[in-house]
Amino acid sequence: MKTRAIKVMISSPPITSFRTHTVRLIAVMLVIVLGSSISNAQGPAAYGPPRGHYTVKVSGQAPCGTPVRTYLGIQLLPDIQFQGRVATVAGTTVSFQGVSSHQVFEDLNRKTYLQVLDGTGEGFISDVDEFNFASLTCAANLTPWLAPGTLVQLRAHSNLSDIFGANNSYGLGAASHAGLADNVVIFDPTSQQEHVYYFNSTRVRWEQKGIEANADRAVMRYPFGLYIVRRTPGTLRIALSGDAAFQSVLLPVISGSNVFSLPINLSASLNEWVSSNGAFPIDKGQNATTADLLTLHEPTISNQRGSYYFSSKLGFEGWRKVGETSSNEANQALDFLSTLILQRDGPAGYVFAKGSLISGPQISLPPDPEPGELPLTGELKFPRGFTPRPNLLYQVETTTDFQIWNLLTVPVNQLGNGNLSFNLPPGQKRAFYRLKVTLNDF
Amino acid sequence: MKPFLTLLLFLSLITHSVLASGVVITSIPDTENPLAPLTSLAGVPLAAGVQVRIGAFPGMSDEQILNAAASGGLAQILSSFVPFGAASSIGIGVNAVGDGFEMAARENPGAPLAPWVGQIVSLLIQQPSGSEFLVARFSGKIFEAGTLTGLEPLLSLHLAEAEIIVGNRYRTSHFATSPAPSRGAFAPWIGSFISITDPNLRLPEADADADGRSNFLEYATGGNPSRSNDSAPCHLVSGGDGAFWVRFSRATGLGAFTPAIEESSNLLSPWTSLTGAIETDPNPPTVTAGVHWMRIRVPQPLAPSGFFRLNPSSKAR
Repeated sequence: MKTRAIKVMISSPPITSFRTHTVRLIAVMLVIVLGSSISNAQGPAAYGPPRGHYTVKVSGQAPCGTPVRTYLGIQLLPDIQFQGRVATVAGTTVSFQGVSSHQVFEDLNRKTYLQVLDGTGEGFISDVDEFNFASLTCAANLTPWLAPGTLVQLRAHSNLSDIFGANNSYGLGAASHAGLADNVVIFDPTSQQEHVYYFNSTRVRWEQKGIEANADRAVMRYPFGLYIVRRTPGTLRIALSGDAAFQSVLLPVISGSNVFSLPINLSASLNEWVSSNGAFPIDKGQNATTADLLTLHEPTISNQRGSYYFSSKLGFEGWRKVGETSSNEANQALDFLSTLILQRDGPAGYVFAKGSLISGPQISLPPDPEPGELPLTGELKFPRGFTPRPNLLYQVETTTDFQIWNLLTVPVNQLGNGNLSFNLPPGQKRAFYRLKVTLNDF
Repeated sequence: MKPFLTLLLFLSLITHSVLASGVVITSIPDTENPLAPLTSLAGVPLAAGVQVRIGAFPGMSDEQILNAAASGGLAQILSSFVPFGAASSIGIGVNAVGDGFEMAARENPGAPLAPWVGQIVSLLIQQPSGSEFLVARFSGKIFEAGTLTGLEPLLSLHLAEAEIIVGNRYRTSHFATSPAPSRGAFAPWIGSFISITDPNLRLPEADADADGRSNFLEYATGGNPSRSNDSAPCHLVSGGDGAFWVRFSRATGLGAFTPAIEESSNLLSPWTSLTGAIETDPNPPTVTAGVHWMRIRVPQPLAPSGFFRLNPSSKAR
């Protein structure tokens, strides 16, 4: 008799300034205008930007068993706040071409980061520390990574409440003590220690273990990964929703253990995803002890792949799986939501992780719905200021490969706020959705 | 009060319970670890089918492991050994049989405390026939107890970093399996010679039988510290083809004993180690259980004069 529906917002994060809103509105409308040039049998159509919705099952602890861990890649993120070219850069300060005030990009609820999209520093990420009128101040020295003309973007990191809801939307086990509740864990590579969050049942809010304060804005810093440790029974379903982060990333690797979310790569395999050559390759070695060791955790089937390393031994070059003689795993498909655990003994550096929406062989995910599972609902938001009209037909299309879009076969409901909502598929699935608008009287 | 204590105990248990742990061990040589191919005592490269296991000897010291091997052989070792993860074998994880091994072992025990937690990481290499084996330990490398929320511990180790407890070691880079050692650790061995009653004469540096060989040299080379007329453990012999060999004996299975043959031109100049290949002597002067004769070729051309000695360097003192 579980009938409670969970609403999943895939809309933009709250807009904090009129200027920001205007930028977003223009961006969305551009997509629609561009889409309207594409005709099909039903007539002219306009499309909204694609949004990702992943439904992931998170297993609970069995009776008398040990807690269960599920790694979650975070690759569906808040909307891009800005994308454009660099005008000037000096140390930690950067300004953008055609932007008068850089303060409009500040998200008061989230930590924003800058990501380099082309050039020799492609994939480099730095947090933004200050939003000034004429420029931004970043946490890192940007000079080695970008130059005037370099394409960059600004995006906010997700908050804990963006992913799990301020009120614990998916029902992770709450308790008065972190040691009794389900935990959301972020591994801090600098300290090599984990930060543990849980939903406090007494104060009815997210808190960090040992800190009595509201943690719903705790930063889930991209591209670092997280995992859930469940002490309560039963399988939960979680919907990860947001903008598809497929831009390549330079993973900031330090000596020791590192936990990374990886950019969306629809052709994900070791060869396709993690660079073994170029300017920022994985650390290679003559054996497993002298190379970076990589382990990939697939959330859907709780599978652990690896450990892998890249052998530089003469006649033995290439990706190897430790303990296997002739491993061919480098080209085998990986779940593109996998979390990467990278262990390095050598000095800190960067590893290039390639994002791609070009679909390749993918592993088959069993939907495997749970009996009586709670329905999850997704939403697509209309551009702000856009007024739905009776002569327009609003539909939702979905794809898993960005090549073939299919009309959603489940009912699409128009909400009072103009948004469209629809039930996500049962069980677990990775899919992307977009709004399709056509003339009803064509 | 009682429920509170119960809660504390429960929290303590779940905080310290083991979730998972992983260990990677390789024998593939690299620039820092120039490990030679693993061999049998006779110098034959280990082949496919030779089993390699990661595990621990809970609560046992190196000496206790050696004593167990000496008293009960492989059977005693196996009864003391707690395996960790799945076994591997020579040739697995590398391109060619005889080129060593590379393996990853992982445990995900349901029990709160596994027997290997907190123990020294050990390795057991075992010939299929059970006739020869090798026990190595990674000093200072401990199986960690994972926490519920921390990352799974993963140790990445090279065999060259290990200390050989049971087996034969030549120089630092050549490891070989061996039969069960004929003698255990030094202390119980010297204690077995009841005729040596003076505690000072039982020290490793002492020479109880006054034959010019220390007790430790007798121990390491298969000698008898209470008998002055046993044969010398080191000879210079002609190979009949103009070559000369330094022949020496060693007690089999004492992995911590790392013999080195050293040369000096006049007994005054610094002693330097001969760097040639060490091999089993095909014509040993004596055949004694638990004693293995080895030889190393004197480099050509021969110097006008030369002196050679066996340096029984070892951590087992």
